[in-house]
Amino acid sequence: MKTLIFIITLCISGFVIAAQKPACLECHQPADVLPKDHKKVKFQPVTCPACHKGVDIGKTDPFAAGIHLKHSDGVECSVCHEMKGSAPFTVKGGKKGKVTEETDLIKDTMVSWQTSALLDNKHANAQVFCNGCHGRELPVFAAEVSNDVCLVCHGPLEDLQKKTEPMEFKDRNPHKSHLGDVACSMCHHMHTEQTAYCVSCHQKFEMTMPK
Amino acid sequence: MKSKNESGLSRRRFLQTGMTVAAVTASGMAMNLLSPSEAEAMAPKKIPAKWDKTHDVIVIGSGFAGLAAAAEAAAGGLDVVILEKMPLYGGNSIINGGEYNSWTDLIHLRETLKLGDDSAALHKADTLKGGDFYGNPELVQILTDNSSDALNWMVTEGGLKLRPILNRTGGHSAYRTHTCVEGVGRGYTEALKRIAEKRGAKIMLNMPVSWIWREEGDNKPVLGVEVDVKGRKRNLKARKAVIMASGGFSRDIKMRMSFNPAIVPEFNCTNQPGATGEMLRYAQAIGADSLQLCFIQLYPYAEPETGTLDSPAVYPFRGPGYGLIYVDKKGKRFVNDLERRDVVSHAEINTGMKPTYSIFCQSMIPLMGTQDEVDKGIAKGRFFKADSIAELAQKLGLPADTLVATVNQHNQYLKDGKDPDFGKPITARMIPIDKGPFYGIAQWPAVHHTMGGLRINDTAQVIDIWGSVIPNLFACGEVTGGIHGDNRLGGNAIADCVVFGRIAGRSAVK
Ligand SMILES: Cc1cc2nc3c(=O)[nH]c(=O)nc-3n(C[C@H](O)[C@H](O)[C@H](O)COP(=O)(O)OP(=O)(O)OC[C@H]3O[C@@H](n4cnc5c(N)ncnc54)[C@H](O)[C@@H]3O)c2cc1C
Repeated sequence: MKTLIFIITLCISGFVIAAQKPACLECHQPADVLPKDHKKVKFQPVTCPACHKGVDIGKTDPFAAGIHLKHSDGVECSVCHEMKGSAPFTVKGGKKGKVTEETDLIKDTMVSWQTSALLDNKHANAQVFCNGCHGRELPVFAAEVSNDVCLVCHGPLEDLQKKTEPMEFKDRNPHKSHLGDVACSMCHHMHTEQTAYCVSCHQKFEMTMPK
Repeated sequence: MKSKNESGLSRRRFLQTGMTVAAVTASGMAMNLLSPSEAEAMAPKKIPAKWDKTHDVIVIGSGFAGLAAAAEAAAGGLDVVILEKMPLYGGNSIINGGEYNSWTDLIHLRETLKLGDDSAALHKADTLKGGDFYGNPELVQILTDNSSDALNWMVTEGGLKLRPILNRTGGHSAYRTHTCVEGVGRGYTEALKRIAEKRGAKIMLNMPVSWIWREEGDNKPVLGVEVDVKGRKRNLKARKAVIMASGGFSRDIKMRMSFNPAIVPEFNCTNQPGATGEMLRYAQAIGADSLQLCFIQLYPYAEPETGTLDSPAVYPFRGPGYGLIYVDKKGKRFVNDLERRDVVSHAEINTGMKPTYSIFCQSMIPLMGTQDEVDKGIAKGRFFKADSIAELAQKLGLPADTLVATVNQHNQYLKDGKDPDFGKPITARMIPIDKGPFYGIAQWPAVHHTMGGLRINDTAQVIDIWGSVIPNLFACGEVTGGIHGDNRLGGNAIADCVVFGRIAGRSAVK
């Protein structure tokens, strides 16, 4: 999946695309994307989605059908969708999309991913897109990411535990604490500032988050 | 219960004093409608026209009480969700000291260890007395009658493992305090979480509940809750019940002070940062009654600088039944070591010197804990160890001759079977501190537990200020009041939370 994402990124060469170009054509030639028996179409900015609709965000699984389903493996939202500006979530070059609380949330998150000084931007620089962590679950309200997903790249846990084992007090290890299994995101927030949770009780601990 | 008319009248009067009547009488408004922030105070909160999500049962809080409630509510296959505001499940429960009171258990520890007699009735009597008879005897009896069943349930269904030790702790007249293998509350939360999740309940983290929706009108039900995730609000409907298991408010300095001004901000606190009282206030805002909110407990043995209750800080609590003693900075005893927490805490403060210390010896360790835990505590600079009492005194910074004299005197009292200084009831299980190595640890009171809270009945239904049940609203655990009186006996909270959590979960789906 990672290679696919990489290829896509290469072919769009950066995140920002010239405004009016049909998003589809960034990756596809009309010839290779249309089945033989497809009716003839002239590629306008939003030609494909006009018929092959995505599914409304906020409904159960936005990737269950339509054009979303076909692109659910490795194509990152902002390849097709406009994330900045007043009408987020429009298909690039298309008409203004409907702004809902969900699209708003995704827009904010995407902008952060693209521009922040937070961990989400670090992931952006490492070519990890929304679905790299959230899979086919859209990063909706209160979305959670399981530790297994983080550990695919950052694991195994034993290595992390070794890395953060204090010289002096071995049980003051944030990756092996009295709290047992905790979510990575308890401290390593992606879209907000990271915090060392331990310190909220153990005020005397000197703990800082890696930059 | 009051007649409908009467209660309607008094409610109207109540609302008139609280806010403009017009807002209340308009239909479709949520009851009471005073939101916590000043800015919103006069704006009525409208019941949502549309719900973002619907569940059968919504549990607020993921500690012992919430997990136990969710487990029982989910037993019948209902859709049960636990909303937890913190990024970690478990609240105070997961960091707790792991002490659980039960007069018996499925492995018959007390009999095996030959620690004398006990009964549910004796546990009840101790609990009521330890709280100066402010506790509701009916609720206390439910706690003491069901605590062993709840313990066995966590063992058999949740895989909880107990240490083969049993302690007699402050205010108890029998050896009934159990400890889990982990030596922290996580042993119980993991067992409960296992049961709850096996039955299909789901925990959602980072979900602070910001309001309880109740339909306007007499005896109208609770409908659901609002959550507020970093300013983005969502409304969740509960088809059957909302169960409040949101814990105590020891970390809520303003609320603490408003009920008990003596609990000044300078006190440390043993609790997790999320132990604040907003849920209690939301419940009050929809008419729930509360009681005894001024009863706030200090834990006498917290780490003096920060108030942390780490595993070393549990030893002074576990030890007195085996002969551990407390001394002040002059090296003298200052209290009956088997006293209740409130008495010990105030005696410490009254020494006029911070901190105080626990003194014990090698042979007590396997009875009250593990050598491994003590060794780790030494490495961290929490416990001090020495081959003689004089050396220990020197390490702790206490006058050596006084400490030696104090220990010798106490050893003599054990021989005599009498403590003329403080009247401690001496038992045959108490060990003289005469064979080394010897150990010491510093200790000081920190804010620990809020005994007061929501008024509930014997089926964990929340009662309103007119004495009626609030339909579809249940509460359990530290957020409730009226069980522990003015002083909770150590080890009674886990039992309270699990017993009433289970009751709330079952009542909610009836
Ligand atoms: C350090 C320590 C040691 C202790 N040791 C013992 C012991 O050995 N034995 C014993 O019997 N008792 C002990 N106690 C007391 C006991 O642990 C607590 O009384 C008990 O854990 C309370 O359980 P609970 O389920 O009611 O609340 P908690 O476990 O505190 O859980 C309540 C949860 O609700 C969440 N919450 C609060 N407000 C909201 C909101 N608005 N929205 C969503 N979630 C919310 C909180 O974040 C929290 O996670 C100890 C307490 C502490 C602090």
